[in-house]
Amino acid sequence: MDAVAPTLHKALGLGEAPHWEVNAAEQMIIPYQMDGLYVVTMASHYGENPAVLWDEPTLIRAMRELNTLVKWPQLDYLFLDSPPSSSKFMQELYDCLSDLYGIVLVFQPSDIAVADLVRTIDFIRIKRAPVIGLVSNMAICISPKGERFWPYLSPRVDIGSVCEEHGIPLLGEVPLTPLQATVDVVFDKIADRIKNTKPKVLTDDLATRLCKAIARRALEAVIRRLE
Amino acid sequence: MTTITEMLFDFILEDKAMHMATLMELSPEKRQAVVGRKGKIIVTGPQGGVFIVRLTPVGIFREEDDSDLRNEVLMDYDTLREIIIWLAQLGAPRDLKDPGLDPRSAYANGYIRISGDKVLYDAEEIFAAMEKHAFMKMQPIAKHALEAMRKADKKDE
Repeated sequence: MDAVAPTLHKALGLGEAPHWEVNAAEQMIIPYQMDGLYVVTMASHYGENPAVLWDEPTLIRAMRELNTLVKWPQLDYLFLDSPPSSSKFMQELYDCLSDLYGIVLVFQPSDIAVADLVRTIDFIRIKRAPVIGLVSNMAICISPKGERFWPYLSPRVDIGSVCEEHGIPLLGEVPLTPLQATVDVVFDKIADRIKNTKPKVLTDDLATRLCKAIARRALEAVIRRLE
Repeated sequence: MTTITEMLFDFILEDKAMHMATLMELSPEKRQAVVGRKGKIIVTGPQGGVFIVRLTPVGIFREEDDSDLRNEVLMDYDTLREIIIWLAQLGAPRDLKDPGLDPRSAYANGYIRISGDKVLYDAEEIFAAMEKHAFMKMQPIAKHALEAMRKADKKDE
């Protein structure tokens, strides 16, 4: 559901976005099938290169149509990939999902990304949408020789404590690395945790969160003094 | 006075053999689904025009009343001109200074607006059918239209 910069086909290793096939009799869009996955991406509709300059009402209408015009087969799960945003588009998206099982947040542990994360968590809380947990993406860099380092200028944030503060399980930390086997192990663990975690609606209010944050900072100050 | 857009559409609507040939290339199922559909095309600007057209088993025909419309397509004359430039260069080396704009990109860029109850489906169906069956056939018309457009530009200067 990345409405203006869809790249799902790239993530799936497809050279170009597959064409949308349509069912003329039922006037519906047929998902592209690959290895048991059924895929629909807006890149098929726009083409690969053009900038998408649709206004928000047009995007919202397209999203609503996509929700009803795709002829999905019997599915075990439907995954929706969406950007972290509290735009009108995202508000409408949450409003039109009637049977959302849970949200997996994927964020980089840098201070800029975490600022977005906190806003996204607040948005999800307001929408009372169930959360499964958070995946820390590009959490650390691992070189081909196995050296671990933080590769960005932006300061690293302890995303575990952010999760703890907001009552969200940390599902795993995906490293930035060319070592496929290392990533595979992490992905397997994340998949297991997703399967075994019951989604929960975040109900904590702003006042409670502020109190928790103040209490944590006070504790940190006491520890610093003791040191 | 007839506008450039009206001239272009007259050209396109006249060529019933092209309409029939395009229709016959569609699968029977798709042909059955699209025949009878009626749409309105609005091209804004001094050289624009408004066209209500219906696809029948024997080609596309202009109609007057705008009841029972499935889609409305809105664009300005400059967008149509860019599309014509793009169409005129199909299958030939593209002029890098003036390559034109393909219809799908014009739609993504927000220069073409389509309204209706199933816009994503209809837009995909229209673009896919045009890309597969009609654009190459429209190229000679686009070349004529482009000449007419350039002449009109010179007159305006």
